[in-house]
Amino acid sequence: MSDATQNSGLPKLTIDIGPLFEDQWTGIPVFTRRLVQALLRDGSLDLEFAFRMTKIPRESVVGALRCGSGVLLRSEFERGAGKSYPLIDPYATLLFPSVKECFNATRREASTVHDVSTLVMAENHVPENVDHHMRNLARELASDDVVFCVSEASRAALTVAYPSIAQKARLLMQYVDWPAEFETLERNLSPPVLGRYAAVVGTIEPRKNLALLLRALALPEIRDSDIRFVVIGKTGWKVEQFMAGLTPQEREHIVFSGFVTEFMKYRLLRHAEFLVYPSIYEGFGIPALEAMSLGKPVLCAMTSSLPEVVGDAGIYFDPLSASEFAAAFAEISDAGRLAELSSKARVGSNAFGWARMAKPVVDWVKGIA
Amino acid sequence: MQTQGPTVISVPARELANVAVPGSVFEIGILRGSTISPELRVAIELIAAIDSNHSVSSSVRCIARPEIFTHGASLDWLMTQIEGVTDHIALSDGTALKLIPGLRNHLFTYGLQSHRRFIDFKKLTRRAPELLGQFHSQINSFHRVSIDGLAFEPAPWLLNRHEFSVSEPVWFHDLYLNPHSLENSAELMLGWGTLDTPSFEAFSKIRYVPLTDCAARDEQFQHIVAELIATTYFEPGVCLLMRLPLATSDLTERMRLALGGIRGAHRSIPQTRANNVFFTSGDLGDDVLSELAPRLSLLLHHSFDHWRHPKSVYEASEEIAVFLDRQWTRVSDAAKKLLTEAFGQSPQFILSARSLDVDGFPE
Amino acid sequence: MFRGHIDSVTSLGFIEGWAVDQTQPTRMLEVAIRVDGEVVARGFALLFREDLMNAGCGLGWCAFRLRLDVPVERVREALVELIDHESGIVIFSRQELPLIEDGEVPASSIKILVEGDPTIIKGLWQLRQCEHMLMDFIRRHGVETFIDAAYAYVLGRAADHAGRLQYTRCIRQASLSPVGVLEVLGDIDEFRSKVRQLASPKSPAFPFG
Repeated sequence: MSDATQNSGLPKLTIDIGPLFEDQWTGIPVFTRRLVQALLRDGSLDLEFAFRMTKIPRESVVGALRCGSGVLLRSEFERGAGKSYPLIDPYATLLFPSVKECFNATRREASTVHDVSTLVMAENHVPENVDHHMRNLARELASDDVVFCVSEASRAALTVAYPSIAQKARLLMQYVDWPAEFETLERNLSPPVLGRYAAVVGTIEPRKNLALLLRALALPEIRDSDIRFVVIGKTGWKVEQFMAGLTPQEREHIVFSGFVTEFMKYRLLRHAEFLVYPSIYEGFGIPALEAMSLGKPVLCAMTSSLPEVVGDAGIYFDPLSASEFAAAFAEISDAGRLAELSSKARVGSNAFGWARMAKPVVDWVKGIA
Repeated sequence: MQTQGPTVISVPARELANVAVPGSVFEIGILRGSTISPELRVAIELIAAIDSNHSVSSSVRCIARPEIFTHGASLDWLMTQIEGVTDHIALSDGTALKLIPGLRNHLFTYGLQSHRRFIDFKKLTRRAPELLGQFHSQINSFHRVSIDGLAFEPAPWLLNRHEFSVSEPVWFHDLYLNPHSLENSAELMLGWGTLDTPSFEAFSKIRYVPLTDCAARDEQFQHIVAELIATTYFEPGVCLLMRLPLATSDLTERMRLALGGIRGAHRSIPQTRANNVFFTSGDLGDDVLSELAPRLSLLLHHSFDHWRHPKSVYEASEEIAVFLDRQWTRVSDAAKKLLTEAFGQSPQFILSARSLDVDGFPE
Repeated sequence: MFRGHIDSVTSLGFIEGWAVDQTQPTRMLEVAIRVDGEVVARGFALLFREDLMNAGCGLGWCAFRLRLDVPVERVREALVELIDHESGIVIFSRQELPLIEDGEVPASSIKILVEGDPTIIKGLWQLRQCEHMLMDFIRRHGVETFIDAAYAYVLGRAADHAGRLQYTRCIRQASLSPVGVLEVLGDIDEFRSKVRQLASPKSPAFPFG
């Protein structure tokens, strides 16, 4: 009998949970968490977990999922307990939720490509980062049975550079899962009195393109609007420099929240009119989905993965045109348009769920696709 | 001419840092009126000249970041902005190769005189060879990649100037190399002042080597240069001119870069002020080169943008040698054809003994 | 098993009090307010109150403030029950609730909004009643893992070797309590120079739960 099924009778999948070893989970660790939880919920696979080709006890992973941090996971592993963990089965079906650290460790492997910006826009990265991602990419793709891409945009960009992998590139799209208690917490808080504002995801970092918004502050559609901008997240580099170049009136139109907890992000999105997402390139764009899940439409750059995530729940603009941004801002600020898009936002968000994320992995393991 | 219809171009994102881009698609005039690298300026002037000579479109337009319009709605949007365009010329400095699905893509590498970018380009074509393989043609270059053991080379075609350019003032510095101190060497050379133009009548042969950042860091090429220097010292009837790399505006830094390369060859060079070996601060003008041409011997590193000078300068030269990175065991027929067309004569090819190793793997 | 109290109803329609599951004081207890068999408010007892901390009630993080779904008048004279939402067990009941002026000022700036985040602590002193919780963590996972978690929680980074050795020794020799370790880490320049928001003990992100 093959090792593909254990006592459970279910096909087995081993997941490398390396990303979960981070202390604080953002980006790829959160993607990994959602993937693991989706597959646990699906229940049609016998899941095992691994890190660097050693098995990690299921209860350790479940514990990490519960507290949302890899501190205990990493601590236990490094404490020397890892020495007593068995090696993974070389015949296992092995999934990497991010890049691979090794190749051909098992007979059947898949990795996940989140972002090909180090390939298509290397100038936005330090050379070490480009080398880190690109050095082994061709080998990684060659050794994969399938390649999961987190968006159609990532898949399209990857297959332009590597047409030979087109047949084995699959989509693996994540979803939003606010903690259940957030809605209850929010209901029991006094609503903020902040005036009308749009939440903004972005930094001065060129790819995130906040500079476009800052340039547009001088345009009449923005300047004369009663809608301010609240930029959510760490202030980041060069913000003060940019702010110093604004007039006092322009500066009043934009506020930086600084680092906030997940619940605060929820609150800020919940009370916003809409989300502004000016990024020139994204691998997926989870902030857009987060806003949509709360009924907020997105004022969105017409690039990369954003149209496929936002769909008809947004107004789009050329990410390099301040005037187009201003015109789109005027359109989305209209109350009637906002209401129309808000209803589409929730519907659009509901199209992404745990079942949709689990399916391509399950199909692959079962040999369906 | 290799483009079939209306053409758009794209440039590296770093070149747009000082360009007031009005949107993702804009007229090339905005680029020309902005601060961009001199190398890019030369390249886009060549492209714009195609346009005016052949009237392929009323104005060539530029796409700022073509790579962000990946597929679906965003690609459709881009296509509506450039409706009717059939061809895309991707100007690349080696860090990225940008293809636009649905258009005929042509590659124009212009920034490879930087060692860093040359390395980046080699890494990229090694790590993603299918990218280069999808270009319909390449302008002024003859890059090749291996895909599954087969060689692919987008069809090279030549785009060069026909007219002379007015020469910029160029300063000449007598060479001096103290192998123990590049700073002392540069200090002395600068301290001696500059010559407007040496008196070339005394020389029966003039060797000209335009150095680039990449050439200065190319150990194998520098062996040849150092040998030339050492030989020329003892040939009073011969003059050697080396253009300093244009990597930076700091003259001292440029001298240190050039001297560092020469010193790295470990060839013994007389430690005395030369009177027939010079550094030049910039390109020799087309007019100067034409005048010297019958006595002119050119040594060009593969990273030198040969289109900086018109064909008439090259074809009048006595001899031309081109140093190529040994990526292949022999020089391709396409490379020979392109450069012969560019120079109006068949150059001598010098292949490096081994190819530059990137990623730690043998070529 | 459960302890709790309904303190008052406010002019803005909130009902306030506290509740704790004494067998699991770290549990994020979901409670409800029931009037005439109807649930009129629901939420979590996880807010911090210093008096509760000093009294040793539920680590100090067991207060609630719940928005009423009915007019204030309806609950003032009625029999009001505080129940555990999961089991329906009545924790406390009273009649004739005092009406107080609502002291909360709605957040009028981003700064105030962020400062009002109920999922974070305002200072490590708010964890003083968490000693048992941390000791229990040490029993389950070991001292060194506790030190790792302490560094990750307070400083947002892995413990350095010297720090791990030092604090492990301090705990084993009982020269420093687990809460003391957190407070020491919170007193160093590295912590002061960073803008860090630390999860409250009732938050799932609190690593010692």
